[in-house]
Amino acid sequence: MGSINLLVSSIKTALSSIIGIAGGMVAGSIVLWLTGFDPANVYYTIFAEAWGTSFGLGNMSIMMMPLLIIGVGLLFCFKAGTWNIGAQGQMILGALFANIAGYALGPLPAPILIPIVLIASVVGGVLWILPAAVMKAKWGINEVVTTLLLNFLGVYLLMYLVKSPLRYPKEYHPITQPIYPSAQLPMLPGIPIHTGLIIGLALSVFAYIFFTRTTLGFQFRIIGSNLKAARYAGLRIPWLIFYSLIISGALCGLAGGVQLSGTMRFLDPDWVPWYGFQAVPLVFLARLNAIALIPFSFFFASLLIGGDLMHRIVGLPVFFVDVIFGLMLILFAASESIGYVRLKKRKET
Amino acid sequence: MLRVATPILLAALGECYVENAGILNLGIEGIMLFSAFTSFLGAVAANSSLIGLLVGLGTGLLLGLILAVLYVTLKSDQIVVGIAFSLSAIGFTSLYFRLLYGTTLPKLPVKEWVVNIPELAAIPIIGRAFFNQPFLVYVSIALVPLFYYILYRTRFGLKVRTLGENPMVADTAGINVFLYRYIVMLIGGLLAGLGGAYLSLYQVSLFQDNLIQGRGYVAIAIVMFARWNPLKILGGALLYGGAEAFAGAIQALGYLRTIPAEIVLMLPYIITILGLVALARRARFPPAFARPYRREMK
Repeated sequence: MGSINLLVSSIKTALSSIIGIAGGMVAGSIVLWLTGFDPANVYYTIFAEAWGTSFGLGNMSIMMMPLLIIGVGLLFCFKAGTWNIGAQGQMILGALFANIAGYALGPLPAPILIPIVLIASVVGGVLWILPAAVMKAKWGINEVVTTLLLNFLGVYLLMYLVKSPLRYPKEYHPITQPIYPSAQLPMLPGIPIHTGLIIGLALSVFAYIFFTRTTLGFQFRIIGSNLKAARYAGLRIPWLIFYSLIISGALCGLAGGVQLSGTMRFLDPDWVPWYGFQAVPLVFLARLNAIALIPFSFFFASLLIGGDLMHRIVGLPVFFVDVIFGLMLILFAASESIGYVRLKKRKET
Repeated sequence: MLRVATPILLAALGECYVENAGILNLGIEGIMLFSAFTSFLGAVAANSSLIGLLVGLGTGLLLGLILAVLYVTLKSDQIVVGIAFSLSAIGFTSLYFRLLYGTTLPKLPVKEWVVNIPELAAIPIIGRAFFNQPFLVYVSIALVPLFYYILYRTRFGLKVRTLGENPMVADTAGINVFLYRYIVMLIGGLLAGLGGAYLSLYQVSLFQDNLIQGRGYVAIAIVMFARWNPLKILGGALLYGGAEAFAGAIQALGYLRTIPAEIVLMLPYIITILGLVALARRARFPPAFARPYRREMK
């Protein structure tokens, strides 16, 4: 009986992700068809460009690393039942701090400078979730709203800093001073992807072990699934909430550091990364499973890269990909709750 | 100040009912964005800002209904759906804005129904603020006492508050939980739609990518620190409006050399967060907040 239930639930588990993805793409096709585009051609172009061209594969690390690392970051709060929707702001701050550390300390050797740059980005990310984390843990102020609002502050802060105090005087356009070559993440041998991939993969594995094998990971899962049980068990709930948000912010900051040190090298004032929002559907479709984040971030990155290239070929703006992401998550959430009801009914009869 | 507070005030009044009934509608940002876009299209197509407002209003109602199906009937996670909805809204509006207009921006028609009493508007300082505004500004202010009265003094308001307090008790008492949650979502959608339409047609007079810039989330924050009370929401909206108007004034008066524009633009968000810190500490949320109601739940 137990094994049948397990089978049913695991099929059901995968089902809502499949419905989400397939449904999102079908709904996207309808949108395309109504708009006068050929859906088959658009999807074919997206994947052909993402997987079939060296440019597409070369861009994989630009798109996949932030999605994967932010995804792991969001995992830490979603599992604990807290909501960090401020990855955008934390990523910006992480990139800013990494940028400053990458040029302000002088051309130190890479084995010293790269860790410093990455740690700086973690500090930046933590700094940008700290107000929301304190407000949530101490006063119970809803963190969804505060992290969302902090995004806008991050965007404007970047604009201000790059236009005035951090502006690199040797450049005509307002950008920051590029980091030293020794602060750049090296490329992996043989493939056009930088070592950020190793960081991302390692973090996923670490998160998987953390949630299945450690006490803190277990405590996170308890406060995420059953607050009442957590209270009876005497867990220090405010502290756990605080930690989950801080770890989440730290990793989202790190995503910014990896992006800056791996590909961007410097910042321009109008950089508004959307990975923070795109990673939300990703994490849910991956069913909050750390290992599943890896193929899912590859898939999402493929859509983003292909969508960008498709823009030039088919003339359909890249925003189409955000539409699909949003639709996928809506359909996922809907099929999830319908599945819950169905399963419940089946048990009763 | 009144002028820039209006979209936030409208959205927050709607969200106030939605939250009192135990729903957190993060999709409010998406509704405002969609309505700002469709009302812009409508106004350009019909060459009338009033038609534009009506289109925005209809869009808000329709989207409120769609979200209600997701939140209430399908019982989906409200935070997940809200965020996803707002993400697709940014994608949709930016996509179609480009497909329809490319890089050439159409001109908006003249703003209709703007109240102007020249004699009174000539009063220094307060004159323009009180006697020369689009009619929606006055409507939104008039809605505040009305919404307060309905929420706290009528049977309808009591029912709405019971839904947030304890939907099971409401259900046993014979209140149709699903119907009333649909009604508040329609009210919330309508007002968010109106707020979005007002923003694009009357306040900034244009449409651009992600025009709403978090105003929907600000409205949610205001509802929280106003503790779900329409009268206090007016105060919160005016506080935000004051910050935004102040930011605008600093830019217009050319103080930008001493205070950078970006810092000034951060002000409304900072004020909102500080408002939460000062007023929403240990706020008592409606107990059923953000939880879908299932009959079989204990």
